[in-house]
Amino acid sequence: MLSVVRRTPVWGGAKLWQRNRDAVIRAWKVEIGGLFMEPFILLVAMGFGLGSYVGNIGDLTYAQFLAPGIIASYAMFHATFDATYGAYMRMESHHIFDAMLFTPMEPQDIVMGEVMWGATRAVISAAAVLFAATLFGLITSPLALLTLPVAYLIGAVFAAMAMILTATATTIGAMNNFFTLFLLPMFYVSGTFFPLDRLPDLAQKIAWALPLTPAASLVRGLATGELTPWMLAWTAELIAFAAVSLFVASHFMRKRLIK
Amino acid sequence: MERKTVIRAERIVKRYDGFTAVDGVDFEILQGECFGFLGPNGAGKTSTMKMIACVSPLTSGGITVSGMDVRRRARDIKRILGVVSQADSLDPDLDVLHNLLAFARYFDIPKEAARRRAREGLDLFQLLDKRGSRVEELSGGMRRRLLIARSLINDPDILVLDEPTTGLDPQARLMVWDKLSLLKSQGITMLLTTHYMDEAAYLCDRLVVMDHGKILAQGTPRQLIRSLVGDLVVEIKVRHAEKPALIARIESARSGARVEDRADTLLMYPENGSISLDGMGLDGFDVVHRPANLEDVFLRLTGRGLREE
Repeated sequence: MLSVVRRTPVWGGAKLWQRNRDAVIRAWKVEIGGLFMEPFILLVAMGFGLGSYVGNIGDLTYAQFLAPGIIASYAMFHATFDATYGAYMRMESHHIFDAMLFTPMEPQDIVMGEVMWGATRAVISAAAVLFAATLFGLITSPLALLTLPVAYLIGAVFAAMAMILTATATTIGAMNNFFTLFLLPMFYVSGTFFPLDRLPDLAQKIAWALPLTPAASLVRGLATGELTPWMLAWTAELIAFAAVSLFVASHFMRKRLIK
Repeated sequence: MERKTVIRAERIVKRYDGFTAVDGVDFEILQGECFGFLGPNGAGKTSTMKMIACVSPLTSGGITVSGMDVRRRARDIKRILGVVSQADSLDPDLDVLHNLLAFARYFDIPKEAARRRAREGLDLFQLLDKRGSRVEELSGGMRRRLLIARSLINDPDILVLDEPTTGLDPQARLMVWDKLSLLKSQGITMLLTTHYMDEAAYLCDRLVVMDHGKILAQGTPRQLIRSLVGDLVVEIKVRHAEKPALIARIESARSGARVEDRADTLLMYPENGSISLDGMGLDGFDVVHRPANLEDVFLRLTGRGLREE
């Protein structure tokens, strides 16, 4: 039984997860600033600064509308940063993945470990924003606590997609396009800053096919306590994104590492 | 006593996009021996190591490690191997001790045992004082020692060392040799690639000389030297301008020795261990008799062309 468990990527991935945790704990002073300060500033500037000109969206003040979007988006950013730049450094500059392959670890374990780690960073970031948003009185439902497991799923989706890029990138510069051409546009049109129903029909369809839209909607539903059956579909969409990306990333990582 | 074969390679071939790195190589490595792969850059040594360590698939042929097929039992094989790669793959985000502990985790070694083994390894490689240091603070020699200590964390049956002393200063090399010969005396099987002849002569029980993906010769260092270059070498220091005349004089003496021209030195390899230098007009030249060594074997087999990395 144990020997079967030991061959699953989650088992091997947990080792890489622990390694990344140990590395972050050693460097916590560097890490802590980015984690809390940036979403905090965004919340104050956009939510209260911009929000005072915008007025309400449905029953929500602009800041209340914005906060769940920030939770989802920052879960996305934190997971992606680590699984792109962070993982690429570990792989190419420090040869850490090469060293792991000299142990019973295999490429699929490495991908799984980085995805689990990205998901964990997403949860930590979501917890930080949730805490700040709660202090500002922007969270109206105790169901908001469920945004933490949802953030794990969001982090897994984006970390897995990022690992496809990491496994195939030939330079670290290749990561930049992923941010400027994919993540940032998605950040602006996935219901983070304004409701999607103002967009043209086609744009809405595209937005819903991208993972941040269901992610943000899911978090908003939980933070405001307005549940809909659609949430199940959104969850399923995110799980599908994560599973397919994990599979594809593992394939490319094997091709890259085992030559 | 007949020793067991622990690694068997049969007709192994490795091709990368049209380039053949290993071209049909056979060898058997016995339990407890130190087996060397000697060869210039690009000879196929590292590719061979990687196939044994299950981090590079074979194009054709077969390798078994302790009876297990590298194609089907990679994880099980990797459990009994310790690998020191050429590239420095220490973890810069962790301190010295945690480099070993993280590695122990990859092998599923329980925490207590991991701490004990890490301590033993640091002690053996004289790194105990450095256990809390960042990896970047270590010297080249210390980093290499830590890499070897890390490769021993799982108490491997077989240690695979890819150029373990390349880039080290003489003191650091000697210390690494010292530790490796200690490990050898404890019965661990070792595979070693190197392009240092003295290293191969010092550590290896048997070795193969490789070039262009093929094995050119194999045997014990003594056998190789005897059969390929003989026991004795005569070295004559000579200025460039005087060289052609000297070579002509040596050839006309018909000693039967093979003559090789190496920069400012002529080397004579006598056929049966002795030679008379009479009639070669060597008065006034700096002439040295020395025992033949692996370097002579190596140059004999691989020629003198420079290799690009």
